[in-house]
Amino acid sequence: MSERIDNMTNKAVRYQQANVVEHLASQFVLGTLSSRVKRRVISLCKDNELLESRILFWQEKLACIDQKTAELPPSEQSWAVIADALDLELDTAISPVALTNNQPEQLKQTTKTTLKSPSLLSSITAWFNHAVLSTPLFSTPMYRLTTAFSMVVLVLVTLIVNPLSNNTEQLSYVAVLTEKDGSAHIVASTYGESKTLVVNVVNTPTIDKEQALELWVISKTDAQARSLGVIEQGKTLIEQQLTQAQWRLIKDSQSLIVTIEEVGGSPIGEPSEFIVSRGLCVRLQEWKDNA
Amino acid sequence: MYNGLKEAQTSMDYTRIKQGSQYSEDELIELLAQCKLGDQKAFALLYQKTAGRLNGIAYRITRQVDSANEVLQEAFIQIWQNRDLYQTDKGKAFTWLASIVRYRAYDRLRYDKRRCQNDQVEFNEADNLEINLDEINQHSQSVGLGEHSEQALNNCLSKLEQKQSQSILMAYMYGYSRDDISNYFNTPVNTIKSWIRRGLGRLQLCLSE
Repeated sequence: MSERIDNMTNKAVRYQQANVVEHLASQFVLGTLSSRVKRRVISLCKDNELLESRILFWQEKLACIDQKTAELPPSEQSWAVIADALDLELDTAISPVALTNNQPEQLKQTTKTTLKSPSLLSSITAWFNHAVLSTPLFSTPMYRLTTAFSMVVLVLVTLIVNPLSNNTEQLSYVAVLTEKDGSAHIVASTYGESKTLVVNVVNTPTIDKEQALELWVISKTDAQARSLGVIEQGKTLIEQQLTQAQWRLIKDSQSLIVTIEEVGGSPIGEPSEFIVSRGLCVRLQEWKDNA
Repeated sequence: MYNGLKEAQTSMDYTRIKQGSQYSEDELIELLAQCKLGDQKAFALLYQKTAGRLNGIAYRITRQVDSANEVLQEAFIQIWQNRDLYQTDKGKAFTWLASIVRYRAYDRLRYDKRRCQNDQVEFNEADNLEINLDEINQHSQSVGLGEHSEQALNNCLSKLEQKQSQSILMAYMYGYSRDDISNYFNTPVNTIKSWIRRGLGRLQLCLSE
């Protein structure tokens, strides 16, 4: 009996030792404790103020990481599930934001007045495609190569002179993705160091409802493709704040491609064989230097 | 699950709380205070403002959209049921909310892994690792950016040995177990335990300065 009391006393003393408490608290917040030990810590917290305070310390110190985590809109059903479970009766005047899509890397559209009218770029390229590329004179490979280059120059000039977004920063990277026939599909550009990606959809290929277009960046370091996200159907101008990781992908990019995937994007994290368009990624400063 | 809700005893002026997903810490504190009084509108507004970020945290850990949404739902149910437990003197409101989500996400990740192993479906972590390490390095190497707390953390992380900081962040940010980290670095798990323990020790000293 006395041995049992001694053991209990020893355990109680042990959980007051600073190094033990610190170990348990920090590893609890990190999520690295086993299930059994985690349950023990939760139980101890009820009576051990030191342990609780150290858990709060670590949570607070590491929380800035969570503050910086990219948002992911919840599914439309999430609030309904919560409300149903809690039997909430809500005034419809305040209803949670339910976004229509739930894809983690979807390029979100910002509200811009330019969306109400055809973009200047698409007007120019539409005219260019119709008036120039469709004529017999420009059907030969040499002429197509020349016009493709001219197209790039035209696009770059348009972006530099008349940015389609409200971004006043300088163009830093740009890629003109063209389809097999040479017609422009997408112009992807980034501005300054703000890490903003602007995607102008010039021509949208027809795809099924069960399909989606996904934008990929091809690394010049390892030639691997990494996704920048699914292009929302029906949108012609999309602007997205890139994460630091995505910005590094852009800086390391050789080219961009757009592929046809299933709705929600590639399920395996790799592009399908159905490439819709591709284009080299050009760092504008280098282009300017070499002009 | 249903916890018997009281009617709101005071009426909150919702015009002071801006609609949309932007929020300040003070707004979250006020909304949680109203939730304690049984104010369902305040709870809905709390969801509106924080669900995107919290769902992002859940997704960061589970890497499954469906799992993230389920974690978010369970977390908000817990938030409402435990709303009386939040106290302003014990920490920030966002930290309290995010911690609930994070711990649930860790549990969900373990559950999904066990289920995959039982179904003999290959749990391919390789898809996550390259981008993970990039974001991890961003945290452990960037100094002098962001708010004071973020600066302090980044500064302290940069003082650790790289594998110590990487191991800590792999666990916190992505729910990697010590075995997962051991597999990734192809290093015995006892070495990983040592990295984490020493890294946390040095981190604690630095953060406490």
